[in-house]
Amino acid sequence: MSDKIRIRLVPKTKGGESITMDLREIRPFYAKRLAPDVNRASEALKQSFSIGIESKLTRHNSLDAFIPRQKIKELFKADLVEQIPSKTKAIAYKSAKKFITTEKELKVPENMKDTIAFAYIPTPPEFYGISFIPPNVSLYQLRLLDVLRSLNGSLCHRNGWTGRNIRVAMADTGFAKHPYFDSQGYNIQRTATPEISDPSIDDVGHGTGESANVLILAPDCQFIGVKHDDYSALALETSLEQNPQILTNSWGWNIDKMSKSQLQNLNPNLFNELRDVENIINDALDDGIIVLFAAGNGHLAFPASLPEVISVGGVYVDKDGSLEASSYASSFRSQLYPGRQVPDVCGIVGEFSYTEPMKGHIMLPVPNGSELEGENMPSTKKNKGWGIFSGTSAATPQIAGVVALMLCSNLNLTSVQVKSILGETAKDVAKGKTALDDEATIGPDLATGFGFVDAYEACLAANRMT
Amino acid sequence: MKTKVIPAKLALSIKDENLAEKYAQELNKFGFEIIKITPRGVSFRGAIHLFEKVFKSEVETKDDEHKFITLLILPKEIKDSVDSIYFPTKPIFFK
Repeated sequence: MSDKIRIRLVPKTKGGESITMDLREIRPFYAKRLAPDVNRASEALKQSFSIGIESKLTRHNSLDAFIPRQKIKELFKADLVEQIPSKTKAIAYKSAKKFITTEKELKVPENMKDTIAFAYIPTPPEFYGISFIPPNVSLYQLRLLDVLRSLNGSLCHRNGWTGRNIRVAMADTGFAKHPYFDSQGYNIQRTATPEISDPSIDDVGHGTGESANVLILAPDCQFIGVKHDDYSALALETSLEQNPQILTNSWGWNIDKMSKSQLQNLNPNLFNELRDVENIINDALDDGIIVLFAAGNGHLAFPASLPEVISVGGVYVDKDGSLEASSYASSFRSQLYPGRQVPDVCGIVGEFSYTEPMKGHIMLPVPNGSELEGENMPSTKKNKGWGIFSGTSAATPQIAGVVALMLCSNLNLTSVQVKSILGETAKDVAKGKTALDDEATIGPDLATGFGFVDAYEACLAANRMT
Repeated sequence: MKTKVIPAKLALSIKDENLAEKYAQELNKFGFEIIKITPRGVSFRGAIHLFEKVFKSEVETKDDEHKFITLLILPKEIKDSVDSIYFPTKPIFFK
C-alpha cells in the first residue's frame, strides 16, 4: 500500500458562505455561489506547498493532496484507521481492498484556515457487479421456483399460507445482502453471536445461499439469520433469544458413529459440548420451538440424530419430476441414541459425482467473492454472485419453510404434531441410494425416512386439525 | 501460543440464570472475559495460560481445537451444579 494518503482540500466560497450548508436550501442560482473560489484555491495551493504538502488544483478548484501517512496526524490532527468497505464486507469480501480513513473529522491546518473550508479522505465507491437474476447455465439444476413447485409450495401460497408472521431463525456462516433478496422484498433480520460484529459478512456463502431455500417456501416469514462463529452452543442460544417459532440448522458434527460412553472416552471435550447442545435444544423443544437439523452429506451427523428434532435428508428430483434418494445425502442408524434413524423426511438435494458438474443441485445467491460463488458452474464473470449447490443444508431450510407454511395454516401445532404430519403426508420415495448406500424402498425406509415432503398436503392436514 | 485467547463454556447441569450470573462474576474475578450468560451456563474467554492456571490442567491445542488433557479441577467458588467446562469444536456446514 502507498505510503501517501490522498486528501481532498475544498476551498471556501467567494462570498464566504458555508459550503456545508443544508443542500435543501440551495436553489440553482445559488449553487454557483457555493462553488469553491478560484482565488482562494490558488492561495491554498501556495499555502499547501509552504507546509510541505504535495498537491494539485483540480478542474473544480479543489486541491488534491498526497500526504505521507506519518504527517497526517501532525497536519490534520486525526488518526488513520483501516476499513473494509461496509457493503463489500458482505458482497465482495475477498476482492474488497481495505482503505484508509479517519474516525474523526480532519482539522484544516492552521495556515490554511482562511482558504480551506474542509478536508477529507476520499472513500472508495462500491461497484455492484452481481445480479438478482441467476445466470443461464446448461447443466441440469433447479431454480428456486423449481424448489417451490417440487415441494408443492405454490399451492400453499395460493391458499394464503405464505409464512406471514412466522419467525424462522437460521444459524449459519453469515447472511449477506444480495440483490436477489432485495428484489423479492423479503423480511430478513440479521444478527450474530456476541463475538461477531457484522452478521452480513459471509465469506463462505453457505448461510446466504441456503437461506434462500426457507424464503422461497415461506416468502412472508420473518427470517432471522444468526451468524455462527464456530461456537455452536452460543449460536443456538443467540438464535433462541430471537424468539423464533422455528429454528433451522444446516450444520453438525460427524460423530454419530459411536455410543455416548465411547465418545466420552475418546473426546471428553466434545462429549461435554454434545451434552450442552443437547440440553439447549431440548430446552428449546420444551418451549415449543420446532427445531430442524440437516442429516449430513455422507456424515453421521449430530444433532440431527437427537430424537426430538426433525432430521432432514435428501431426495433428488429428476428432470421429469421423478424422485429418488440422493446419493449426496446421509441416512444412518444413530449410535448415540439407539433406536433413532436419520432422516425423518427429505427435501431436495442434488446427486453426488466425483467430477463436477453435479446434477440436480440448486442455483443459489451467494456473496461476490465467497467460497461458494461459481460452485459447480463454468467459471465466467457472468456467474458472479451465484453458485449451484444444495446438500442437506438446502433440504433442511426448505422443510423449515414448509413448517412455516404449516404454522400459517394452524398456529397451534406442536413440534411432535409437525413431525408426524410431515411424515404422514410425505411422498414415498422408492428408488435410489443415499451417500451411505442405503436403498430407498416402498414405504418408510432408512434412506429417506417417510419420504419427500409435500407442503400442500402437510398444510391441509395441519389445517384439518384446527 | 499460551497467550492466545480462546472461548469456553461453563455448562450447568441445571437451568439457573442466577447461578450462571454468580459464576460469571467469579470467572470475571479470575480474569476471564464474559461473553454471554444464559440459564444453561456462561460463555467466557481468556488466554490459554489463564485456563491452565485457574482449572489446574494443561490445555492441548491441535488443528485449532483445544482440550484439557487432564481432569480439570474446579475452583471452590464455582463448584456446584457445574456439568462441564469445554472448548467449542468447529462444526461442519453441510454444503
